[in-house]
Amino acid sequence: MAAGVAAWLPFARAAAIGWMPVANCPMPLAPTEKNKRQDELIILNVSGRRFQTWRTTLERYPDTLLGSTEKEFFFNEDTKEYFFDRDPEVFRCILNFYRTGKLHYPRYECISAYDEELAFYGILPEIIGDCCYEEYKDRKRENAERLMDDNDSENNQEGSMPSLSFRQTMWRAFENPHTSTLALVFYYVTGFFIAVSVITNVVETVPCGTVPGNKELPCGERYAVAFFCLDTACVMIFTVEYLLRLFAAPSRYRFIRSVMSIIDVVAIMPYYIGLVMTNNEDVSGAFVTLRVFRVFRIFKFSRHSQGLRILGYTLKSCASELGFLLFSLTMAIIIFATVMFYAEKGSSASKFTSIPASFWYTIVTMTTLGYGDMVPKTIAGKIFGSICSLSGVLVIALPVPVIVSNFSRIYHQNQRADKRRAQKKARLARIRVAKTGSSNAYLHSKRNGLLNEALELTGSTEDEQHMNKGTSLIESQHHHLLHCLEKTTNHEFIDEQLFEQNCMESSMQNYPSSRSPSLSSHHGLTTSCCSRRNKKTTHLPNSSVPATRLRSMQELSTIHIQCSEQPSLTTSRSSLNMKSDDGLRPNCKTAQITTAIISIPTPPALTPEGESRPPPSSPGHATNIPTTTTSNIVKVSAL
Amino acid sequence: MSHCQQRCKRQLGRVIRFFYQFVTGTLSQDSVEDEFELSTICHRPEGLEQLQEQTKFTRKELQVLYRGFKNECPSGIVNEENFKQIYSQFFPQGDSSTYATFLFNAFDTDHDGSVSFEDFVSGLSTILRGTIDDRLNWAFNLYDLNKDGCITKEEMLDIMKSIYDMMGKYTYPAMREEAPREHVENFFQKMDRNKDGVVTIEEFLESCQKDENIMRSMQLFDSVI
Repeated sequence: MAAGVAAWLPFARAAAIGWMPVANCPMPLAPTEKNKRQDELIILNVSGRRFQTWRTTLERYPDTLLGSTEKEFFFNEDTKEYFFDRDPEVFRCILNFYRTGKLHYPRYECISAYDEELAFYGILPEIIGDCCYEEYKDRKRENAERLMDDNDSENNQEGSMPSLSFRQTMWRAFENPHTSTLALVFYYVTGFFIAVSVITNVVETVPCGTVPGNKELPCGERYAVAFFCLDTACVMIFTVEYLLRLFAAPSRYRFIRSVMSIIDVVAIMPYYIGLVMTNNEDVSGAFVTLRVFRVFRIFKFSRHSQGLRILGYTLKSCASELGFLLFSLTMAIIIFATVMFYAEKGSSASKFTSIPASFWYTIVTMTTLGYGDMVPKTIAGKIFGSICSLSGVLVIALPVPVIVSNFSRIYHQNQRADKRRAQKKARLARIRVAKTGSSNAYLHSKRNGLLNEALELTGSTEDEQHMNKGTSLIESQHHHLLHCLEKTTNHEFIDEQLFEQNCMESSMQNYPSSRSPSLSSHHGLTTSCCSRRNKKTTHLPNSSVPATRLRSMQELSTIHIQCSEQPSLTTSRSSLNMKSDDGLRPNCKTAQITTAIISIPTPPALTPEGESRPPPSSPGHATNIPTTTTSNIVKVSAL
Repeated sequence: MSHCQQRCKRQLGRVIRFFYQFVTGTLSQDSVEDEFELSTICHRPEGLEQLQEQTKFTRKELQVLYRGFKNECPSGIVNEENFKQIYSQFFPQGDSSTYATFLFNAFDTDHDGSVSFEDFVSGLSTILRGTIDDRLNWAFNLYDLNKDGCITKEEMLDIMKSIYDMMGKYTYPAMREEAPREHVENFFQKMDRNKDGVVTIEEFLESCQKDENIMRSMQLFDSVI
């Protein structure tokens, strides 16, 4: 039962009076309302904006947050209202859903923000009304495609490359020439030879001076040997390229069936067939025809040009429109050709000898070419001829905008994808800076914290106070948390330079043998760190899930400082995202993060602090304090 | 013949108008304007005090009822389609449209094709706050489809079929074709005192007052609102 008509339930029950007299059996007892509350107004305070509604309005949908007892969690005793720390704009739509029974999707709202709000209030997006559902689905699909696109490109470019086999590297080189210089060279060489081959084909037919005997010869016959050598060279290159691609393809069968490989084959086949058949005069005519296929080499350029590929893709996707155009044209041609033939049948010396002969006239007229080689002479013919040309304009003009808009959409999508990829790189770079900043803040405060402990033990209070000034309560709690984690995992946080230093040290010492005593006892540090040396992200030793989660928690907690008054629910939910890049909440601008970070003092200034350190108060742990010469970070590890 | 001529003339006029519109480019006249008329009819009920006097509901109850009414019918009146659609939402498994039509006719006391809030609330007042006799009277009015003061077997059969339709197909025991008819026979046996094939209001009231089940079920309506 739609809850929207819940208000009419008393009416429906009253209408049951019609059944009573005809019923033979006694009616069941009516349910009694135990606590018959008078309908009351409740106040919903959403980020300061107050909404008021009847309690029964909300209770219409008991399986949502507002309709169930879940909202009691948000009840504020002092102000006697329900407080939600969420977006008031979206809440308007949500409340309207309770009131009218229809959920609308506001077009100006971001799709993911809207989805989040719906999830928070326990409302399924499927009940969005028909008026807004299409828009919602479209936006959602667009967003998903975009995210998938980004993911794909991310995987392609930043995916770690464990040792690829030679075949795989070659395939990668073929598909993406920017991976290595050799691939780039190969790419340009093949491009050059395609151009050479096409130009050769064209120049071959140009008449090139006369031979004694006053006969004009095309260049191809005059310099036959030279052209033959050029052709051979090009075909050699193409053959080698094709064979290499065939070898490198992950799925040879699929490669053979692909369009590009068919074009390749068609481009080089005429040459080989020509080689085989030069002696036989009968089929030389067919051989000449085969040379036409050499022009297919120009299609090989589509590997080099994104635009060409898009054009091809557009035509493929507009196949139905093209088909319709063709069909309607054919219909019109046949109709008008028939009409013209019978109209011109009477006139003498008419060129319209048959209906197929009239096809040519019809096509030329409908496409407004108007060669003038066939013209109607009778009046009826002229009338129908003019109708033909007018309708031709219409029929051709109709599907063309559809094709054009398709092409434009696909082309712009491609442009946008490239632009996004470029932007993403810049974004990631900025995010990385912020991340190192935040982790450095922790490390810095840890240094200070250790210093604090040292000072505590030595008993000088003033320095301690001086140190404590910089940190807020939240930060110190956060850092305490990270510290606890360190203690739990017996590992430590260090910064990037230090880590790479350690890496190099360990590789110099014992690669890939067991741990070196100069390092803290991190299991597998040597193998893991060195294999990841190529990766330019900040990796903590033993980089595994806990570390990334920690990093994202780091960011989150740092952001927590900036964007205060966020309920704990959000941070915990976001921390479920293990991916470090997604650990950032999108509505917190990265710029804000950097300002909160305590500026890192220059390392040399802190050298003295790093040296001495009494054993920490944690009982039961024998600590090892290896200090590297250039770093100031004290690594505490438990054996 | 003249009828034919008239039709021809009308068609011709339409064709000429079509060509004229085709030529001037005003062919596609949206007929949306016609639809607007219905939705701009707005009906406001009489004041709260008057309704309070006319019906037996309290002020708060009237407020609650009106809010629910206005929510579903923002224009202030319910037409038959709307009525049927609202009622069908309570019975998803069967077909309640026929019974809803009968209800509509019963609520629409002034027979103007629409149920206003006053009609609605006065009907509810009778059923929910009236005496048992009032309720029985109302039920009789519901059964009497042509409002001639007596219920015939055909009328009763229609009513019975509509009630059984609301059950839908999936029932236990399985629905049989003859069930409504048998039920009607049963009813007439009980109600029709003088066996004249129709049930008058007096017979109806008398028989119902004698039946304990009916009396008890009439009291159910006290606690609906």
